[in-house]
Amino acid sequence: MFILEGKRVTKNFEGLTAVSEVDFEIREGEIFGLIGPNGSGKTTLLNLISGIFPLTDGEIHFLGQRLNDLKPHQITHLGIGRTFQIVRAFEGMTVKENALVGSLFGTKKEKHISKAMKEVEEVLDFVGLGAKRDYKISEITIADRKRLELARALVMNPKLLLLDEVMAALNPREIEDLMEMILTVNSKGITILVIEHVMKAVMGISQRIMVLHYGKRIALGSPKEISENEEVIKCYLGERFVRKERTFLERG
Amino acid sequence: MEVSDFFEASMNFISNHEKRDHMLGQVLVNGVLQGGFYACIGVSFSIVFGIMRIINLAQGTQIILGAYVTFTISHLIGLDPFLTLPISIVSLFFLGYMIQKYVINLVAKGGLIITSLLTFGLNLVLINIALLIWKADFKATNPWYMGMSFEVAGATIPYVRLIIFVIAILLTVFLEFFFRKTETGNSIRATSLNPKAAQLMGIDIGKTYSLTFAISSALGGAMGTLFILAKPVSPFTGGDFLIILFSVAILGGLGSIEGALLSGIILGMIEAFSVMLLGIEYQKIALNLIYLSILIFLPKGLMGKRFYG
Amino acid sequence: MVSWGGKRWWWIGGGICLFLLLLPIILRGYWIRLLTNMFMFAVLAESVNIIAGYCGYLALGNMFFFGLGAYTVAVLMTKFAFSFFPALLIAGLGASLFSVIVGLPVLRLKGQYFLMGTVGLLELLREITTNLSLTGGGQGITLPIFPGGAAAANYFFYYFMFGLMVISVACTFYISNSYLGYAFRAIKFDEDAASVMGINPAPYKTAAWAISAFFTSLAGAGYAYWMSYIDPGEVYQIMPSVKMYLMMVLGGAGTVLGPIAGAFFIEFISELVWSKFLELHLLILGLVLVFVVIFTPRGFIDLFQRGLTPSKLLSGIKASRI
Repeated sequence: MFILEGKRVTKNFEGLTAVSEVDFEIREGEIFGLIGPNGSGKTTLLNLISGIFPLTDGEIHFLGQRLNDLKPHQITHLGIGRTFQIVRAFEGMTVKENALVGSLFGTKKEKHISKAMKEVEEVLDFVGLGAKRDYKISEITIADRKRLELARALVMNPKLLLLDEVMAALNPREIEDLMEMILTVNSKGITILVIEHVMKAVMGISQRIMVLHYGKRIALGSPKEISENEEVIKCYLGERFVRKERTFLERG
Repeated sequence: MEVSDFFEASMNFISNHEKRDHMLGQVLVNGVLQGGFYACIGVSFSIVFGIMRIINLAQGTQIILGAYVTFTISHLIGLDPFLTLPISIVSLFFLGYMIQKYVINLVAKGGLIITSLLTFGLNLVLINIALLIWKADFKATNPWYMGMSFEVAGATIPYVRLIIFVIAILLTVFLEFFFRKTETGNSIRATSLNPKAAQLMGIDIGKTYSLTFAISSALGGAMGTLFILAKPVSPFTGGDFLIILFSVAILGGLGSIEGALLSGIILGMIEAFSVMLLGIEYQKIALNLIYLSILIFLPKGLMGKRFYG
Repeated sequence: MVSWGGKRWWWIGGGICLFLLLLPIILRGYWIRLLTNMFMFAVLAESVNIIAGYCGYLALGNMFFFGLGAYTVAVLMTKFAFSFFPALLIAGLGASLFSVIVGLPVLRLKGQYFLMGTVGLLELLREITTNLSLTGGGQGITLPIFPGGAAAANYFFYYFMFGLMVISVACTFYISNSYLGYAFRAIKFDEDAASVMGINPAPYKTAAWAISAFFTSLAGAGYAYWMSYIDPGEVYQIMPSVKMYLMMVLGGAGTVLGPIAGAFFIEFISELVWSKFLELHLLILGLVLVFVVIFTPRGFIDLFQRGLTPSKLLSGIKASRI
């Protein structure tokens, strides 16, 4: 069963085509990777899915429901949560207040602050921000901000989670922690779409990967297939990486 | 005047062909001449709005200060008001530079309400200074060529208005040239598009802003000089300009000079036509409604483009 | 953000309220009227706080609700023989309704444009009122005098404005602790991120403005009856509108009691300046504006929290200077 389907998804910005006729299907429960060079349209695609930009052409369906004309908050209520590449936390609020917003207004619309707060604290503990819950946004590190983004999205109990480069600017240890978190979340049945540049991570956790280049889809398949795809190698990965990663993947 | 009177007046007007054609020409002329003035003051506001994203609520009073400089000097030395143009330009340039450098730059990044409140505060200070120096009554210049005009195709064109129009257009064109062709002008434009990048390229943002505000102030001062040639001023006259400044800036597109030029003239013409149709009492209402319509329906301006973007 | 929580504050607040309630007994008329004025501005500052301080929509022209309220009551009482309280209710609800309707196009404007739009509305309403015979045009309207004489009027309006102030504070307090408050603040900090979090901005913005309109217009209505005479230039003025913002900023935007404190402080200075330095009152007010905005952009409570040393004062500037 496909949880998210895109047909001929296209987005033009006053003459610049950011996304061009992209088809994709994401299976329920899988971790789906989205990679490509900078400017290839990955974040734009995410913005199209979550309703921040309207589509120029094509369709996106979520569990059979057409997303094209829906507003961002409506799409969120259907069960899609996302993080932002450049963390857009609410600057004047504390960590836990930030997460609380997601809980109060996300899918479940829990209006009781104290009840919602309990759930929020659980999620914050899960991502490792439990101790910092009363800190202001300006007081936490960038790794923490990324975790907050994740927490905010999780707290909305999404069926599909869109992660936009959550691992950027993190050190290897932090990346591993995050990978584990993502796998745990996925094991609970949440489908995840991950945009990443950190190859090791995205190759390691994704069941399937789609590659975008100048807004067009140039490949879609398992990590192994992607790493062997000539065009992908040419455009993005580079020969030496592929040799390294093949051995990594073969070792499992 | 009641709403029904308005309908009656316009019906009468539309059915009276001869009178209409004669008046149409005059109204067009009035509109264009006034529009040139609107365009130029709009540009002065638009520059600051577009480049620094600051709503300068003191702009109107800066214009009036230029008028007062002209008044004082022409009364003191008997100099012809037009000849005081360089003086008002220079003095307002200096004033603007100081204000930006020592006051506004302190909070330029502080956000909308901070900068707006600041310029409003400055506005109050300037008004009060004007009140103290020149008192509250209206001041005017009465050059000998005041009422003189000539006729073209049935329309009367006062000399003063024509010269105001020409000077306003010249200044606007000059400014456009400055921003496009000179190095300083280009660095100002660069700063508005991307302050951080501009800084990395070695542009001093503080100085750029001071220069921009000074130019806007100088332009305003020049227009004040021209204004007092046609109408009297009081310290509070500046407030009347506010809606026009907003309208021209928005209709013309943030910071776009050619846009402001076009919008100013269009605005002048629309105003002239509404005065013709509705009578002078409704002039302000008409202007306000036009302004709000622009804001709601054409927030990106006529060109639909952002400033040089 | 400052928190004024804790049981201690409840007692202090209650005590102050009681004190203010009993005050008129010992005060002369001048002081009662002065305090009434302060209460009124407190209401205005708090109202502006809801739409601007919490929700981030800077309605600089918010004063036009004041004028609407004043004129609604004036017209209803003079032309249609309404008595005060029904007219008051209609004024309040009418203003809220107006804000909802006008908000449909106007609340969609962002930042600067919204601010400029509200200023435009203020100007427009003033001009329309000046030209309408129903509202008496430029001559203004004279309302029926409050029955019972000057002293009774002093007391009535003192308690009216006091009550209004207390209600508006209570309302703000409720909002700030409820999910409404979270929605408002999320919208203020990042409207797009808020909508991705499931907040549909439109109804929340509209609610904020409607609440703000309600209290502002009630203040205007009370003012009209109090003064017994209003004209367009007075109630549709940009100056009090800016003052409300000054009070809000000085006291602390987005806090419950900040605007109230700011209102008292500024109104007190205003009164002082008006009586002693009339010629300079614009200048002084302007300078106060400039100084407040440069040195205490987050309110003086925030300043006290950070410490009142000169270096702390200047550090505030460093963040926003070029």
